[in-house]
Amino acid sequence: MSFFKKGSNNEKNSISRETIFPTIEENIEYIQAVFCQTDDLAITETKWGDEKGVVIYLETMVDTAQFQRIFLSPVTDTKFSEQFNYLLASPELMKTNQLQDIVSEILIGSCVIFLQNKPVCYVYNIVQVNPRSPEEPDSEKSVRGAHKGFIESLEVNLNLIRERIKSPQLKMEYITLGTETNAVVAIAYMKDIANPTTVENVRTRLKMIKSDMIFSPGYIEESIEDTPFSPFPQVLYTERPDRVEANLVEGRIVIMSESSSDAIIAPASFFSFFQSTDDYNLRFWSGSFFRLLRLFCFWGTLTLPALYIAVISFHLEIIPYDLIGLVKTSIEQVPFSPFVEAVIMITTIELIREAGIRLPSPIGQTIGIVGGLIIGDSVVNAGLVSNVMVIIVALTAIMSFCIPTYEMGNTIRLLGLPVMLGAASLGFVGIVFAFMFIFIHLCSLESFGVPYLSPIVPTNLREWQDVIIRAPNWKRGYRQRELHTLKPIRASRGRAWDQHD
Amino acid sequence: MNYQKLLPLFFVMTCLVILTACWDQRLLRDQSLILAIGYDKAENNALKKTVTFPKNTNAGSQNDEQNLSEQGSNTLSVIGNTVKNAENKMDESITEKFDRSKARVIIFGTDLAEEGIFSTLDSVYRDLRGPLHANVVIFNGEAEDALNIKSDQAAITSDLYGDLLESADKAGITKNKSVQHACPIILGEGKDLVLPYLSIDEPKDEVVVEGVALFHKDKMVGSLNIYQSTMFLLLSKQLAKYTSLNFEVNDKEKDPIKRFVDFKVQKNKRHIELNTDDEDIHAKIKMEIDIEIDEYAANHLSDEKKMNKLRRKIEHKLNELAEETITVTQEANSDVLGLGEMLKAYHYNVWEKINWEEVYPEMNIDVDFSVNIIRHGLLN
Repeated sequence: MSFFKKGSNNEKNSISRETIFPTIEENIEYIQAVFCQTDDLAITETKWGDEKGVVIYLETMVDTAQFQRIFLSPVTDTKFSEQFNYLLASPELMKTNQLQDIVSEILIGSCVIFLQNKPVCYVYNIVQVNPRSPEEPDSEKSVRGAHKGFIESLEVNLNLIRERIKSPQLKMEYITLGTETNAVVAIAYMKDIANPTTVENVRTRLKMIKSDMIFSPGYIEESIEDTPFSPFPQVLYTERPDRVEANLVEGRIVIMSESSSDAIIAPASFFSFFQSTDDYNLRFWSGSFFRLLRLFCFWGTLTLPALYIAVISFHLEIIPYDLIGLVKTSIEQVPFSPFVEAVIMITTIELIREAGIRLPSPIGQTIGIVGGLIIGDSVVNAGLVSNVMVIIVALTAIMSFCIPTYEMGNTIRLLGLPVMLGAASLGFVGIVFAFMFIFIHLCSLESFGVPYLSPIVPTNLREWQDVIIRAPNWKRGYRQRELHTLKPIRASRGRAWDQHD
Repeated sequence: MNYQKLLPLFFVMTCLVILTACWDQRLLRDQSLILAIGYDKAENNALKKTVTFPKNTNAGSQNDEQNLSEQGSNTLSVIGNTVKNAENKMDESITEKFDRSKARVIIFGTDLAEEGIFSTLDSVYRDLRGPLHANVVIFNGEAEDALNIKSDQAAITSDLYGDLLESADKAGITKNKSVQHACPIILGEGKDLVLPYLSIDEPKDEVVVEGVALFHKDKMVGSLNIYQSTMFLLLSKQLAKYTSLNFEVNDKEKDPIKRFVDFKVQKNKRHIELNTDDEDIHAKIKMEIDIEIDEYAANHLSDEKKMNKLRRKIEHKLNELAEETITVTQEANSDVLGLGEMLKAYHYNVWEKINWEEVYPEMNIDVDFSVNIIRHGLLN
């Protein structure tokens, strides 16, 4: 419990006492002082059998109905000793005499019972939770398979994980972060699979975070990732319990924080951003096809506008004969250079996208129509942008949305710009230069000691069957080598009946 | 590391790359695409270059669909000392820069072709973006007229020629040769170049394929008509997808349709025997071809005897045509079959002693066709 003490340094300076005071009045005074006389601190005096007692809690944190039902009415009505024994048996009851514990317990929604002339007090957790139901996350929809998603409650989220992995080896570690907010962050991993060094690594980095609040998982990500200025995300976000399950069993580590529906999965490799849970529910052929399609989308998003710019400004001889007349007619009257033209169009699409996200959905759709159809059509008619460029940019945007993780899609769309700049200044050579930089960076990138581009770099052909295509589950007998798991071999003889003829 | 110090350096580097690199830009927007080039002989040993390029139809870009349908091409003729000289003069008279890398055909007028085509093509071989893939064509007349033709068949003149050549190539009438393919044949010894030969059909004002033009070195020396050129392609084992021939086999039939047989060549095998034992060299070409009867109104060919009879007639006609074809090439001294190359490869000591250019027109070339009818249609 040492981190609680760390978390409330300022109170400690004024009052040096650690254990509770002998009298109720002193305790009340102390707690009121700690909570700065806040108005939602309720202090209810009551009689507990023969003894005088007081219950202190934050009105805004406790479940009032529960409070009434299990607490006050039975306790005051019948014989104290009987009821008190009943209370003692309940798992939520905690006995303590540490003032700091009391303060932090009140903060998370417990009520504290002080009894006259007792050296300890009783802490009873009746926090009011108002979770939404675990609906399917909007950002990670799947066609088949489970449709549950994480919600903004850590307990519920961990429950969803435990529900899926019924193993004593699934270990959760709680760490409290945020000097002002005291948010609980949980690390979950499979004790018998995950690499202990990686776990230790994650744990140390989390503990090193010195921040006043953990406002969102983004805070955690930025604090623990290896290369903070890289455009590529180095941890994977998900709101899906099934994805978390798969990654835990694969030997990765999951970090979840209170009041957030995102789970952070580390270490992540480049290709894990292109996998979706749907792949594993589809048949092998379609699953593999969609995965290849996504990798193609990655290339397309990066290169398509750049290739077009390079071709029409440097290498026009490579346009096929039948196409060149068409392209030439469409760009004849455009007043801008191809690069500027592309930037105008890409900015427009990004504007439409950004506006569409923030607006309520009926207006969002209208923006989509107005932006997509009307602007697209009139921009071509006005001769500001050529219609081939509109096609190229629209196609690029659609390709980037095909990438199943939002962060990776954004990253690649953004990286398209430097590639385009290279194309506009040096043609194909420029594209090659831009790609060189990107790939050198990707090759040197690591996520918690795992090479980012594995299993391409370093090459491990056996693992390609799960990153380039999606091999049938019973074909994949090994965990990813670069994760260095404790159990490198998976139990995956799904078709054992088929082996003997 | 002190990033602050590196910043100006980074800025300078970026500027350097961006500013210097744009120098090489060739915007498609600013280029006029030459789609077909014609070369003619002009007075005083000058060269007349004619080009066609698509019209800038986007002038009033209000209605794009209309513009696309209104495509057309302009032609421009300029006289210069050399190809490049003429090209530079062209740039003086037009607002955009010419780009010839997408040219689909290069047309030579007969007058120029008879003087030699290699020196004219020289600039293409030197140019990084030269139209190496363009088909070289000889036009019976002036190339300028060829490019100024107005046809209903295609909106752009280059399309007209390009498509015509492609279909003629598929039908086994001519063989397309690109600038790149022509070079080794012109420069090599023992084989001569053959290029498609076109002309204008005067009454209809349409471009037609006349056959192929025969070359000796890089000079045009004669031509084969359509039938002869099909035979030439058969003899040189350049079987096209739809090589078909039509012969008159029953000259006594009353019904004119029944006099003819039309067949498609499915497979041809060639065996050339060069006899160098005697003083004079002679060649024996044995051809085995599999044919499919496409049309033969006289008979259903269910009878084997009748089929054999027809087979012999076809063989006879083929031999006649082959002889005729080879005589034309020998008269023009154009070794289109590459017999010289073969002699050089298999009998080098003989090749060293003789002067092929003198031997070829005089030598004996026998052709013997054996025909195998493999299919004669669904009817039995």
